[in-house]
Amino acid sequence: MKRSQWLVPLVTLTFLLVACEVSLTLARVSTFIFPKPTLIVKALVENWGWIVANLQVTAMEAVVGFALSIVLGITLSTVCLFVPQAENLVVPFAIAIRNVPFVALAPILFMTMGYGPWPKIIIVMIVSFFPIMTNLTAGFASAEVAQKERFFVWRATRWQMFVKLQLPSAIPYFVAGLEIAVSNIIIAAIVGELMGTTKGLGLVIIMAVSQYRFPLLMATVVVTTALSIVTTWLLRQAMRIAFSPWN
Amino acid sequence: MNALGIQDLTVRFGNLIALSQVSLTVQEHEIVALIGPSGCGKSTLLRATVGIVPGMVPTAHLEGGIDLFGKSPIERHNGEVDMVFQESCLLPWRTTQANIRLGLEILGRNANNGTLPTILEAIGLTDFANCKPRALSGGMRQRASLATSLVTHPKLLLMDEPFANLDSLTREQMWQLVEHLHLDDKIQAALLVTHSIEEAVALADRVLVMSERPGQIIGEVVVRLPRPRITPEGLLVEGFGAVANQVRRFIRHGGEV
Repeated sequence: MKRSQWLVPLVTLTFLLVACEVSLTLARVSTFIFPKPTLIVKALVENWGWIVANLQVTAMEAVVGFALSIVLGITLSTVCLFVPQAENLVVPFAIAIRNVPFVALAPILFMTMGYGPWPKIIIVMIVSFFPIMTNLTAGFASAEVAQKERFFVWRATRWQMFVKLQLPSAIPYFVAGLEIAVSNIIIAAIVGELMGTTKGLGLVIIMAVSQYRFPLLMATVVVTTALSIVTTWLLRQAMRIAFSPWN
Repeated sequence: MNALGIQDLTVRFGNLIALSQVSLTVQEHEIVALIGPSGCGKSTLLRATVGIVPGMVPTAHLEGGIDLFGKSPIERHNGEVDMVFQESCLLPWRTTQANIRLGLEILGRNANNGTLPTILEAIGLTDFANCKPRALSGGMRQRASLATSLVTHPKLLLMDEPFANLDSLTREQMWQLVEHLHLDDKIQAALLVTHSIEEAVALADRVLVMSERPGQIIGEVVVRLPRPRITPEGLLVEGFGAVANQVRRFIRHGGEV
C-alpha cells in the first residue's frame, strides 16, 4: 500500500478526534450525551478482552450467514437461468422473504431455534442473499447477443454456454453483489442479537445501554465499524485474487 | 459442390416479412458479397443460414431451403461453418490466444496442436497473444475475432459487416488481410454482408445486390479483377472504380441498369 493511501486518512482521523475532544471539553458536553474520544478509548482498553470475545461470536454469525447467502443466491439465480419458468416463483418469493420485518420474524426464529447463533445467521442470510441473487441473475443475462450467437454457431451445449460464457460474464456482477451484501452482514448480525442473545456485540450494546455506560457503547460502535470495514476489505482482496482475469 | 445453397428463402417475424424468395449459391473457393440498404434482411439471411433464425428467435417463421455442403443448418457438421460478427465478440476475461482457442474448446478439438501460433502470425498478433482485448486496438480486436473463426478451419465463413466499426485505413488493411488469407486458402468460401461497395468489390468474386425490405436479390455483378485487388502499397487495381460504379448503379436504380 502506498504511503499516501494510509497517511491521508490517518491524519484526517487524528485531526477529527482531536477536534472532537477539544470541542466536547470546551462545550462541557455530558458523557451521557456524547462521550469524549479519550473516554471511548479508555473504555475500549478496559473492556478489550470482553469485547473481543463477543466480537468473535458476531463475526462468526456474520460470516456463516454470508456464506449461506452466497450458496442460496447462486442456487436461486442458477435455477432461474436453467428453468426460466421458476423465475416467476423464485423472484416474488425472494422479494417477500427480503421484506419481512425482522421484528416479526425474530420471535419465530427464537422460538424454533433458541437463542443460539442460528437465528442471527438466518437474519444475516435473509439480508444478504438478495443482492447476490439479483446481481447474479443480471450478470447471467449480460452476455452480448453476438457472443451468444457465436456459441450457437459453434453449436455449444447448454452447459458449455453456461460455463464458458454466462458464468464468466456474471463475475463482475457477482462481485458487486457480494460487496453490497457484505457491507450489511455485521449490522444484520448485531440487529439479530439485539432482539435476543446471550453472546455477541449485541449483548455488549444491550448491557452498555442498560447500565448507562455510554463510553463502552461508543467503543462497541467503533469496533463494529472497524469490523465492517475489515470484512469489506478482506472480501475485496479475496475477490481481487480469485477473479484476477477480470481485473 | 456448392458450399452454400439457398432456395426461395422467405423469413417472417410475426407479420413482418424480412426476406422474400431469396435464392443464392456460394461455391467452394468463392467469396460472395451481399450488399443492400439497411434493414433489407442481409444479416437475417446469414443468421438463417446457420440456424440462429429461428433457433434463437421464437417469433421467426422460415420457408424455403438452405443447404450447407448438402446438409440442412440443423444437420451441418460442427465447425464446418463459422461466422464473424460486426462486434469483435472477444471475451474480456480471456487473453487473445485464449479467445482464439475458444472455438476449438467448444468443438472439442485439440487446442494445443500448433495451429494457434500459425494463426497468430497470419493475423499479425503474435506479440499480443497474452494481452486482454481491452489492450488491443479496434483493428487488432477484429483481427483476433477473425482468427477465432479461422482457427477452426471452417469450409464456409459467414461475415456480417465485420469491418463496419473500423476507420477507413484499418478497414483497407483488413481487406488486404482477408484477401491474403483467401489466396492462402485459409478462407475457402465466404458470404460477406456489407454496406460498403468498395469492400464488396475488393473482396468478392460476385456481388449480390439486395432490394429494400422485404429483401430480394435484384442483381448480380461478377467481379473480374485480378487479385490482390489492393496492392501492397495500398493502391486499388485498375478497373476497380468501374466495377464499383456498376454495383452502385444497381443499388441506385433498383436493379434497372
